[in-house]
Amino acid sequence: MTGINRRQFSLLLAGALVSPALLAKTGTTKPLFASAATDDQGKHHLLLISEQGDVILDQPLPTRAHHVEWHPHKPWLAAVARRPGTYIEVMDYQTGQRVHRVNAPQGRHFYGHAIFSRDGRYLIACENRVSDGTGRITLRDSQQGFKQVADFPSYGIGPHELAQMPDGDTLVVANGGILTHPDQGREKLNLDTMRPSLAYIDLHTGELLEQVEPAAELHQLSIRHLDVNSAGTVAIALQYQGPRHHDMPLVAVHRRGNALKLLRAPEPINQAMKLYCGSARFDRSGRYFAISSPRGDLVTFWDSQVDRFVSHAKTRDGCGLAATPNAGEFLISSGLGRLYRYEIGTQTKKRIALHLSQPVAWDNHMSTL
Amino acid sequence: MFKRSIPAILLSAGLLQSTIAAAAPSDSQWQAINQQLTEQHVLPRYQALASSSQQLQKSTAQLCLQPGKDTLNASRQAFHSTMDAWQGIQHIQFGPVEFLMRNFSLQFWPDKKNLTSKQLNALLSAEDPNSLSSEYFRGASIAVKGLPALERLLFSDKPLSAYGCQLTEAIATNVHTMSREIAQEWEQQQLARIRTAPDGSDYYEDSTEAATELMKALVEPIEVIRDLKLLRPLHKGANKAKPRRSESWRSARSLRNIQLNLAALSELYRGDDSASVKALLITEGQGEMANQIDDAFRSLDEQLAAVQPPLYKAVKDQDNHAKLRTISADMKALHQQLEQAMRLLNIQLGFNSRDGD
Repeated sequence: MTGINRRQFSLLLAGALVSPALLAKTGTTKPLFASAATDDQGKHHLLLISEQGDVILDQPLPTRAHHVEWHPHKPWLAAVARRPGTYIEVMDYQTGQRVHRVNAPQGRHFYGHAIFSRDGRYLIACENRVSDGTGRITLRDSQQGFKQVADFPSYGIGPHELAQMPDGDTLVVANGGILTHPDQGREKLNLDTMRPSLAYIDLHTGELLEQVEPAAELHQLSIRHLDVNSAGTVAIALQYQGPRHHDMPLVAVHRRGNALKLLRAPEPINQAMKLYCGSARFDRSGRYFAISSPRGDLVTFWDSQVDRFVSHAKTRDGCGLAATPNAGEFLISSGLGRLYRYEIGTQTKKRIALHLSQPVAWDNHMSTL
Repeated sequence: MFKRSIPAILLSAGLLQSTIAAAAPSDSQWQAINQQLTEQHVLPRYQALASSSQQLQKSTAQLCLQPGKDTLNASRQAFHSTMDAWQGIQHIQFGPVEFLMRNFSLQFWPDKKNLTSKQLNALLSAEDPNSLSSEYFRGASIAVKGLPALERLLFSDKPLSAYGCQLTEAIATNVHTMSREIAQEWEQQQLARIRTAPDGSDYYEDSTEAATELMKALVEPIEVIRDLKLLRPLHKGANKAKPRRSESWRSARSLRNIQLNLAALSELYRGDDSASVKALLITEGQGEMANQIDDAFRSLDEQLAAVQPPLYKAVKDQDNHAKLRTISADMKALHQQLEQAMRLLNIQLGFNSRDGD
């Protein structure tokens, strides 16, 4: 696929996890994005890519990862194992050294998402307590060797993505509602009774501050991925677990104290989303957000000022989304190993060239600093 | 960490060598296949669906004018021809057939909650003339828009009422309208998108991307056919089989459907001599695999012919049940072979879309 040049080949032979050439000029080589990926041999990686499309960090991972979290001020990346995985790999991308590998305690597994607290001290993760299948939120202190310092309920089953609200004291957690058990792999065990919710939790006490759910007849709309802007608006990507021919709203926004507001794309785009959204991200301005629908090969863009659909871009197997430093601009990564830049103002999508040593599929989520 | 990275180095070096030995197919090789398959396989099959459903529309109109054994038989024959055509193009799940949920509307199946029966009975008892208009069908439940609803009406033991016949004609008209529109849109839009794929556009960035959709249509249906059309009725054994889970059991054509599906996939695989997936595999030095896949299609065809129809009886019969289990296992093996072929041809069938979270 991509040609391998001499420099990349020598890196390959050296088994280099970090490119020394690039490291030497980290001052000039700016990271563009980080993402988990799976290569054409089925091996899993955490990759950090530069603005020039070169590999800065390539860390092999034991199993497939999901979200990659960027530390707010240290050169750290945390790759979170996909459910029902049990590791979070924290890497220093400047030295190429592992900072820490967090292992879920006995009887627990991760759900694929974790964040650093805004001050950078705590790693906050969603976990499954397998014994009773309830969702847990855990805090680990990076200043004490990632020792677990808090463990409270997520107030639902299957907590998936979480974010810190702009007040800094509150977490918002997407409880997907779907019960799984590691003994039955990824099988969904409670689709008839599932109750997804959005829970606001006090970061310091673990107290439930507010919780919203879809109406009873929409209880199969799993709330899985979210992002929050500086005004506290939460943008949500939904996944419908009911029959494939149903036509459902697949996007929602929420503001504290209000009901969950479900949004639809105009037809036929809403139907083309195939009842499944994979990722939600605000742009740098916090006004626009993007929602990916990898099964429908498209990404939709929305305006949170008016809670309306703005535009869409066809993107085959596109799932990973991230804001660029420019307002109204997003990066999109795809399972076909491609990367794009999309600009809302002009509704243009451009492919960004990458120089990888082997073909990869970008996993569900990507991160920019 | 260093120890762990050694095999990775060897693997990478090995990978590099194999890349040198046989480069992945080029975009222009895929382009030739895309054009061959869409012009010679996809479009003619949609055109066949459009013309057979037109005949179905005419036959049902005639049935309503002159109810009787002959006109009913003619309508049933026309239904069979239309279903033959649909089963021969059902594997294509991209492009115009996806638009406005036409794929579900043409055939809403499996119908786990028996919606077709419920919705049809409601229409039949209301006898509302407004429910016969094309206007109504645009917004109607997909359960009454397509072939399974027609099958229930045409293959029922009870004679059709006058209204029931008009409803049959209205559904046949709707099936024809959708089929004609799909064929037209392929001719007028989709083929152009395929032809211009090498130039790159918002629709297809390159020929490989367009080829990926066709390759999905080759590989993925095998798993779907096996799961829905074989394993669901086979259930847990001959004495526990579920005959009414068979597709099209009322018209006693479940096995024929599977045969037609596989024949279509086999044609999609073989293409013609100049451009095909099979030829491409041979070019890539995978001649053995290319022939194995070919043989697997042929063997499945022979095995299916050896099952005593209809399927809804065969699943209950020990001997035939065992034959169907073997067929199911062979389909699984064929699916794995095709997935491996796709990896060798550097086609990524989907990652986030197939196994997301």
